[in-house]
Amino acid sequence: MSGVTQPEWRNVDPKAALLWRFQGVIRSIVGLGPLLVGLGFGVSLLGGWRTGSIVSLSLLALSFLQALVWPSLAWRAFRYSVRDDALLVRQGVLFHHTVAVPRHRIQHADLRQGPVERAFGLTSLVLYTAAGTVADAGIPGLDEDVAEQLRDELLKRSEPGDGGV
Amino acid sequence: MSDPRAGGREAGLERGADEWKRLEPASLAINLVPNLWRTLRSTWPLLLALVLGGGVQIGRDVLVVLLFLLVSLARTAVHFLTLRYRMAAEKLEIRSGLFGRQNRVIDPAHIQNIELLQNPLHRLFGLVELRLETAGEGGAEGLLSAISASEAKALQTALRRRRARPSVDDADDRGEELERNGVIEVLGHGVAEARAGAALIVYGVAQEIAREFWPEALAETLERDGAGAVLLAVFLSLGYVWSVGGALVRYHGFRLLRSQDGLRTESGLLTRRRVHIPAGRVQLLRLDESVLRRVMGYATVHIETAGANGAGGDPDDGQSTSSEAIIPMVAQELLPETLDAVLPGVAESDRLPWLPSAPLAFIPAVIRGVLRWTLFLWLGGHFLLPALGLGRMDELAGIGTLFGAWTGWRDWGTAGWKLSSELLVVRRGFLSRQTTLLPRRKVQSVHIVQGPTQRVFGLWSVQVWVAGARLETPELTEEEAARVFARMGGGGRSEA
Repeated sequence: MSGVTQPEWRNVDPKAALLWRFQGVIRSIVGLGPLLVGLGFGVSLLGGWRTGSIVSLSLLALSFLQALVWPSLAWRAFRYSVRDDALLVRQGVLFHHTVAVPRHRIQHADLRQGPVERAFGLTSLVLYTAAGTVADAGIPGLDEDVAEQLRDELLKRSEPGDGGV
Repeated sequence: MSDPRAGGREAGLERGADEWKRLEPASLAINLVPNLWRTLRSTWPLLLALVLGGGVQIGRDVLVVLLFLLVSLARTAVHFLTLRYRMAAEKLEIRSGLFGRQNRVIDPAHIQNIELLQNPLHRLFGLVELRLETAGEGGAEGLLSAISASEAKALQTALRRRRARPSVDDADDRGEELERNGVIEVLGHGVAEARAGAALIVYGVAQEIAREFWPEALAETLERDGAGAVLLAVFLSLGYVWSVGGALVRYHGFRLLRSQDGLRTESGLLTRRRVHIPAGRVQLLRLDESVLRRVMGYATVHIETAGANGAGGDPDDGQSTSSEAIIPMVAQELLPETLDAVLPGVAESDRLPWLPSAPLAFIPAVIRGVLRWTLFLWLGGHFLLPALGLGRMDELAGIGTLFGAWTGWRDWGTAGWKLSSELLVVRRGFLSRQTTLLPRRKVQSVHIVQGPTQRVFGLWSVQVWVAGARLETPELTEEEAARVFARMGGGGRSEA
């Protein structure tokens, strides 16, 4: 790749890892909790309540561990870069994924903030081209001011001609 | 579809441009059949449960049929009574819905293609169906299911004021004919399109229903030597007849025309379908060159535009179905010339040599082939053959393994790519070979991806998105993937 410009990569806000951890723990409790209780009950019918409890608690612990550890890895893997001609987003712990969206193809951009994100002071930037929402090119976990600046910067020079298609 | 009254209607449309208009009353008759089918599609599990569950009860069954008819009639009436359209501020506005009101504004500048359809009922009442397709997922789609031919022409004229665009009616016989399919070619397309899997599923369902009603008679029939195989052959043959008949109805009299303003296709035995794709709107071409098509010396070409492909649709909410254009059969020797006429730049890319996928990509290709064919033939030998009364043959799995390894190897050998100044071209698959051509100026985003298995072999894939479609390269080395990514708009990728 000699001779190719190396982009300057930026991280998302460090609070994003904390937010993802919080969301992961909530998902483990709300989403997996009832499932694990049911599974534990099923196993206890076959192998006694002690085995059922051990299986359920082990799975719950694994789920918590994943919710606590994975966000740090995901945060470290997540990078974005704003170039003159395109926005680049790189992410993925197991599946490495880099996407480039030519700036003149961006039709519009949304800033999204749920109640939990608001509590953390973070915002997600979602981009749209004529192909719809750009898969894997959204940038979550941005500081509110940074997100607004980034949106304005990206839209400043995006002038899709011919309907952008 | 030209109509001497068109001029008058057009002038009328201009005078009363802001007035709301409604569909022709004959739409009540025209839309009833599609609405019956739509109701049947949404309620078939209930109807099936009633048929299988409780046997025949005259009173209940009559009530169900009446309810079914009533729902369809109500949908048709609501569609007719609530749909209004008008041209306002050079845009087409369509309002519909009883409880969930919908107001849709279609900007002519965003129209990707225009379709006119005429089924036998339309022809009987002298009406047409006008479909407008715009770009992107969830983009506004316009469907006016029954308007007069002159009104359709006037609407198209009004729409093209914003952006120079001729009406589909103008096409009639003008323009250079690029391709024409005769009956034999259309029948060949039907044969190549036939799916044995669908016939097998129908066979399985029919057998289950027969088991429910006549268990002893069925068991006795299947016990006779080879009776199951004969039955299966009958079902497969019916599947082929269905596919060939469908192709004939859909593509009879197919013509592809090119004029200064774009491409036009027209086809159809009962429902005549005309599609206009304005110049420069082609997003991607896909060539189907399956073994059967290669033996016949033909390929099928799919022309993708930026419309919401395959989104399905419901006239009640004003959405049309997919309107990508298909050239059913193009002779192999005419392929470069025809494709270049549809998408400029093909001739240049045709002169470039195919570049292979990464050397180590043959390992996952062989693994995929082995898994697919071993499982497929094992299932066939273990379950299907006994069901046909031919005895279990688990040994077929071994043949599947060998065949899968061979097809996997050939898949890897067939995979290739080339990048010209205009196009990215990708070829994949040995048995069902597909070649995809994507114009570089249409790229919306470009992705470079590596999964955990690919990491073991140092392989990468590049995905390129255009409006309404995407293309994925074969598995490449890191250096090649980075080169494709950079040249398609990704620039430097750093250490990704």
